[in-house]
Amino acid sequence: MRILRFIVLLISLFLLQTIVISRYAIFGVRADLLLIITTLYAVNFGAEKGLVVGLLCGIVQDIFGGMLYISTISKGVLGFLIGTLKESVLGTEETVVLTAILAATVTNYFFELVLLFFFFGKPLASPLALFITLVISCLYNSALTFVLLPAFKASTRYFMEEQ
Amino acid sequence: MYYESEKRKNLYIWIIVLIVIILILNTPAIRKFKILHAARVLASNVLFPFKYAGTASYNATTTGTRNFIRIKGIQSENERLKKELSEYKAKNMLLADLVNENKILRYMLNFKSRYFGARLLPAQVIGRSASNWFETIEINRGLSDSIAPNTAVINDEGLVGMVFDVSQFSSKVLLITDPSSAISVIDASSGDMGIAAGNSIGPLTIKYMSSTADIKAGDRIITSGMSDIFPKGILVGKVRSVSKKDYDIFQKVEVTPVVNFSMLENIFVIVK
Repeated sequence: MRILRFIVLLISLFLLQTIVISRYAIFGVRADLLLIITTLYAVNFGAEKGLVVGLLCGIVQDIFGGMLYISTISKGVLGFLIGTLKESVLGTEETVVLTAILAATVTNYFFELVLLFFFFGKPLASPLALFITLVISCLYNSALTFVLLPAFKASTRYFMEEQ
Repeated sequence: MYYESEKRKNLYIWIIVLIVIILILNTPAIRKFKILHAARVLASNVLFPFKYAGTASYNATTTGTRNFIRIKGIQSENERLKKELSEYKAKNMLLADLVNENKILRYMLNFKSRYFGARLLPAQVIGRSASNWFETIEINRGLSDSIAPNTAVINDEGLVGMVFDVSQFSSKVLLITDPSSAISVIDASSGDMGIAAGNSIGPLTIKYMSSTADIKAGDRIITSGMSDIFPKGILVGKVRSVSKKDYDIFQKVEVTPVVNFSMLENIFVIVK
């Protein structure tokens, strides 16, 4: 039941991403809401939950909106890595979250880039455009994370209370 | 303790199995059975009412707020629009005559365009790509409206892209800004031909534009009509910059698209 509730939440977040957040692209770059959710779960609940949430986020993104099935792998691996690395990062909660979101954005970016280019042969934008996209993604995801953090804390009480 | 580690081990095994299944499903041999495509079409059909309702409510909220702010200027704007409308009506009558004349002349010349008689099907954007790797949008027209893949999509400003995936009630459109997009274009002034490719963010790039081509900043770039997808003469963009080196056989041309993709809401599908 808990997993079903969580999948409904992820689908709702995906709708929010495609209907609202993707409209507000900065220089054509969109924030990745499901990446933020994966990172926040991994930071708060460790590698195992990070991995499961990452996989679920990736599956939702791939089935409902993707063209190739790369998000499932990239977000799953990322949730696991961030959850594992979290224990070695010291600092206040905000600095840990900021470090995690920056690391997640950069890792996810290169992971997807490698999968798309080397495995699927998708033509990519110019190196300059790729670099600008990465920088804006880092800034945009970090800013959105801090906007969403209070809502995330409140919702985890509801979605994780049965654990 | 033993139980915990066993549980964790099982979880990892399941996840590795899942990743292997995904990779297998992505192999060309399996992909031709279109299992994933069928799942995606099903998912798209299930999600369609939610996306449609979500977009409609969001648009109603934002438009309502904007209208409330602008209400003061609405009277004068209304007067101006009425004047413009009557002007356009007169122009339209003139154009209708020209269209008829054009039809007769084409018939006389036995000239049959592939898009002669094509109709414009209005559609609304109900979703945008969640990923920065794909420049795509989703529209509220699908198989039930006779939409087929490889159909051109335009708006009142110019070329938007082409339909690449169709579900029962919705379709996905590849925007001309996607790096996978390549359109045969010509310079409206000089007639020189090239291939306009997307670059995710920033301007389009025209590839294979001969170094001898007479192309300059500000020129209008239109579709060449060389492909089966895009009719000739649709405005793609305006030349932003041209640079060439003495030893290159092609020059580098950057084009700013005329369509504002971030504000895209209403579009037209060219149904053949």
